[in-house]
Amino acid sequence: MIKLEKISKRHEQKQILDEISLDIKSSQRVVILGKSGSGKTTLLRLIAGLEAPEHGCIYIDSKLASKDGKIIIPPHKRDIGMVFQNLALWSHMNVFENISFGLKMQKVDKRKIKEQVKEMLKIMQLEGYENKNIQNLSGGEQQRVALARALITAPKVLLMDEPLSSLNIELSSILLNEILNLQKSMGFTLIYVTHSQREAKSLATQIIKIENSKIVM
Amino acid sequence: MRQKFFFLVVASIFIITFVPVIVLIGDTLYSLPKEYSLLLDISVWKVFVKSFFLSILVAFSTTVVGTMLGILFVKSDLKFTKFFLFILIIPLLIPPFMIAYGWFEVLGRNSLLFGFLGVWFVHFSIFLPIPLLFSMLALKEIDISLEEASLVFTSPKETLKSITLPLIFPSLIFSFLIVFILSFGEYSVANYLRYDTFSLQSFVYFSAFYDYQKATLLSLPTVGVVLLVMLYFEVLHNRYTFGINKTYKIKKIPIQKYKKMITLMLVFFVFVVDVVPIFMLLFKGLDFTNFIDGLKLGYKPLLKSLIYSSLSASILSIFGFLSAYIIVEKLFKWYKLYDKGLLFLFVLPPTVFAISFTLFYNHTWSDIIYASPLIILFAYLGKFLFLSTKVLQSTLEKIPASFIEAAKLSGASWKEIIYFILLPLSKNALFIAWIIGFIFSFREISMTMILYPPGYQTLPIEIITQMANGQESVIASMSSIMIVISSLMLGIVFKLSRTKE
Repeated sequence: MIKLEKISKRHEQKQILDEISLDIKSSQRVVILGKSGSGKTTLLRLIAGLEAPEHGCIYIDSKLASKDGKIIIPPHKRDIGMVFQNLALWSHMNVFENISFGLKMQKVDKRKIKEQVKEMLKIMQLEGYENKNIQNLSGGEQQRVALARALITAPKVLLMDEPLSSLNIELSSILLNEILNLQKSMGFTLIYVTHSQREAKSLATQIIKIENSKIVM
Repeated sequence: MRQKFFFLVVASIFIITFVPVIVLIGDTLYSLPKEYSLLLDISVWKVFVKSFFLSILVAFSTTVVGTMLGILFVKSDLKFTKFFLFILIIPLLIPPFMIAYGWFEVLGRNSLLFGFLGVWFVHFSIFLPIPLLFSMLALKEIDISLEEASLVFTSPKETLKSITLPLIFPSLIFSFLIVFILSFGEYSVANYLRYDTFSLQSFVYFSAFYDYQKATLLSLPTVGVVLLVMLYFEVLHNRYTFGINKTYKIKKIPIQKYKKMITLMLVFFVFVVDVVPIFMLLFKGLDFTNFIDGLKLGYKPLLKSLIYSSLSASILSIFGFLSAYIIVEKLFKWYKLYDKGLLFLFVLPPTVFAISFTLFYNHTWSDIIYASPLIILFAYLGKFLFLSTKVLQSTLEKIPASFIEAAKLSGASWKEIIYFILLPLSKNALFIAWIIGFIFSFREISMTMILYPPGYQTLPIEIITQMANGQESVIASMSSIMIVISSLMLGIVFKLSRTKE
């Protein structure tokens, strides 16, 4: 599904990732674990195509996606969804507009968009929230909107960058369970970045630990 | 104690700068029954509509082009952007009529220049830096992840359209309104290019006929326009706050094969809009003999300009810091009103502002102000305090609250916190505020023209006087001196901003 071959990346002279190779199979739940600054977010951004590796290749579905400083397949053509650490919800759009954005960009029929968003809102327990402003939602609700936005296009891969780091333990446990159930029912490949052992243990089918720019199994 | 001190600061600014405007409005309303026939004159309203249309066109064109350039400068990997920015800002920093004069040197008495098109084009080059800078600041404030969240679904072009532009939209509206009001109130270009505008009519009634009441009456619709524009912004876009709160790393979009073509187009654009008129002035003015002639005639006004601008910049830095402190600390319930008041004075057409000063200070009791350079300094304080306040406000807002709390826990009083914590941390911003205050005071012509007491004329006034009956080479030489000094100051701001980054 996703294959990384000898990926290296530097930021301002500092080596972030050093010749990392990785093979992620379809429908797995991979948790990338590491301290802050260890390069786990960079790894996620490389898979998303938001950054290019300095050296090495990334394959998605056996197709070359990035190679030696070049992005060959742009992010929006990689069939991925992503939940950002700060959620990155657009404040100039309401809940409906945020969630439907991906479908709109795919030029899906308006009626179908409405139906799919309604369905997604039901799954995320956000029924009736369509016209709400993003700023008026609680942390947990915002989390669900971000997740809904990432999943609405039914991507093959869902990338999550420490999505629960700003929530309390109780709420993060509930959401963690919901993510697990969604992954099981929808069958997408999950790549989840965190520094929390607890989150890793309760979610992962495979844990990858990054230390000193390298993978420690 | 702290409240009392800052209340005194606000009270002084209110009395010095706001009260004259209030008096003007009161006086105009009082004389309305006597002079209202002027407002029934259809030709007056024709000029009003013409000026309104001109300003809308200037605001629209500068906002569209300024935003495109802002995006190019901030989001692309184009080279020499700082250089292009530097050149594009210069027209904003010199007296507006100079650009018109530069074009006159190029085109001569051309009918295209002396008319609507000419005034629009000169206003376009003068005010273009405002939307350009606004869009650049707004783009730098966008959290990169907001754009990346869209890139997962769509192309960079669509992201720009659906995410980036809507996010900077309030800032663009704000700069559109600022340019609209500034263009509406600018009269020196229209005066030079013999094009009748509303603010020019008001100025002519005042300076040529010395008809106070008609001049003030004509200022009433202008004040109305300013208030309406501010109200519109307050109601519809009150979320927007001026100044950078947090800057993010910018995701540069490689423009690859278009880089050469875009650079060439930009060189052509900068050349046509800015370089040609400025170069003409510098070419003539920096000839050694001309330069010496210009200096001989202009050294006294130049010296005065330098002194007034330095004094004004110092006063603006001090009051700018104090005003920023009031706003950041929310010292009074009505701090927002004070903030909006400063903006109101900044966008109020300079003719209106200067006439209000004449009306208020031209009395025996205030002779010491009206008959001395104090009147000019007071006018600069009112007009430009908004700018220095905003420069310092954005710095004070970035100082973590914990810095102040830690000082408080150590037993520091508010004065000691200002002296030992806030002032040292604002050192750079204070200097930038000083330079900006200097540049804007140095270039000011519209208010100074109405207010300067005999024997106290500044360099721009001397240049405009020479334009009526002096030699072209001397005018070009004096203009060159202004351009060189303003460019040097701008260079310092650029250097400091880079260090600060």
